[in-house]
Amino acid sequence: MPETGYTIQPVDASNAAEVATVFRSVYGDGFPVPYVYHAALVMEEIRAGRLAASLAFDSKGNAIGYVSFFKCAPNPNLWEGGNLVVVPGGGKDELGWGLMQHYLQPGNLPGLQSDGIIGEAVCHHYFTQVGAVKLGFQECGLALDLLDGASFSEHRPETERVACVVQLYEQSDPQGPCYLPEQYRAFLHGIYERLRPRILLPGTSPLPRHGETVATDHWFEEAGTWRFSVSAIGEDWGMFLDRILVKSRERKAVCLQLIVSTALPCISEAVAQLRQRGFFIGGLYPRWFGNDAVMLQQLFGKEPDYEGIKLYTGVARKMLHDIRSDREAVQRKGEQE
Amino acid sequence: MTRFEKVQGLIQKAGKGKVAVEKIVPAADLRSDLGLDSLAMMELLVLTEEAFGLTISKEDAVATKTVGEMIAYIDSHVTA
Repeated sequence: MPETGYTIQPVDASNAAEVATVFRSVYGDGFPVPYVYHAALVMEEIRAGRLAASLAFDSKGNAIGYVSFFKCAPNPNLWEGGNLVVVPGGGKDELGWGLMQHYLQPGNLPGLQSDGIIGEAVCHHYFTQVGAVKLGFQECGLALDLLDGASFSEHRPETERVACVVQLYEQSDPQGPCYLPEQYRAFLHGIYERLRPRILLPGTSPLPRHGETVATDHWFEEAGTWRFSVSAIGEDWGMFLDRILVKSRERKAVCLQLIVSTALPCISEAVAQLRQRGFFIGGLYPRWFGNDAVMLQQLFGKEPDYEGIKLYTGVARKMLHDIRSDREAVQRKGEQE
Repeated sequence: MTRFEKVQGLIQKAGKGKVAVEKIVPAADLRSDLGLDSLAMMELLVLTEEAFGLTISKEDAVATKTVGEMIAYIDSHVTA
C-alpha cells in the first residue's frame, strides 16, 4: 500500500460496477450522466474512446473516489476533466488532489495527442477551483447559472443555480489565427496573456451574404442548459438566433450558451447581433474547435445570485465583474430600444 | 486579536459555525477532531491565504494536520 493510503486504477470491466457506488454516495440516483450507473455503458464509452476514467480504492478495496476525462467539444483532442467524486468520509484530503493530478501526468490520457484539458469548476465551493489553479489550469470564462443547485444531494449549494469557472490546462501549441470580436478585445487579451502564444487578429469582416450557419447543440435537460457550438456563420445568422431564442423559451431553458469559433473573421458582427438579442460575454473556450471559441450566454431565469458565487482568484473575480457589467450594459441597451 | 484567535475564527468560518471554539486547541486535528471535510479544508486554505496574504502549496496544505501545525506554518511564512 502506498503512503497515500489509496490506489488509483483505470476503470475496466472488473471494477466498472463500482462507478455507480461512488456516484450514489454523493448524488443518489440523480447524477445527470446516466452511464455512470451502468457498468456496461461505462465500458461502452471507454471502448469508443469517449471516456478515460479511474477509480480510487482504499486499503480494504472499497471504491472511494472517481475521476474521468471525456469528450465534450467538437475538437476530438480536447478532453473535459470532471465528474470528480470523493465518497463522503471514505477518502482522505489528499485523495481529491491525487485524482485531479492523475491525468496531468504524461501517458495517463488515451490517444496520441491532447490539445488540453478543459474543466468547469462549480462555484458553490472552492475545492475544484483551487485544486485546478494550483495544478496549473488557467481561468478562461465564467458560465453563470449553468447548473441546477437542487441536483446536488451532497454539498448542496445555498444558491438556486450554480455558476462554473471555465479552466484550461493547455498541452499543445495552437495553430492558425484567432479572430477576436472588437467588443471584447481587452477582456479576451487578458485571458490570452495566460495561455500559449497565438496569432490574434481583429475579426472585423462583414457577415457572409450566402451560406448557412453550422452548429451542433447539446440540451442538458436536468440543468435546463442549452449549448450551441457554432463553427460557421451564414446569411441566416440573425434568423438562426431568433429561432433558438424562441425554442429556448418553449423548452423553458434557464441558460443558453453560444460558443462561436474564433476562426470566423466576421466574429465582431456576429457578436453584435448576439448582443442585440440579449447575449453577454461568458469567456474564452480555448481549443474548442481545435482553434478557440468565444462563449456568449443568456439567462432566462431569475437574476443571478452574484454574491453566492465563490471565486478563488482575483482573475476570476475580475472576470465576474466584467461579465456582470457586460450583462447590465446589454440589458440597459435592450430597455432603451 | 492574537494570531491564534484569528485562526480560531477562520476554522469556525470554514466549519460553518459547527466547530465549538473551545475545541480549537493547538493539538486538535483539523479533520478527525474538528470534523472539517475536504470542502471545509479547502475553504480554510482560501480563508488563510486571504487573511495572511499567503500562497499555500498543495503539498503544504495536505501536510498540515493540526491547529498547531497550521499556526506554525503561518508563523514561518508571514513576515510581519
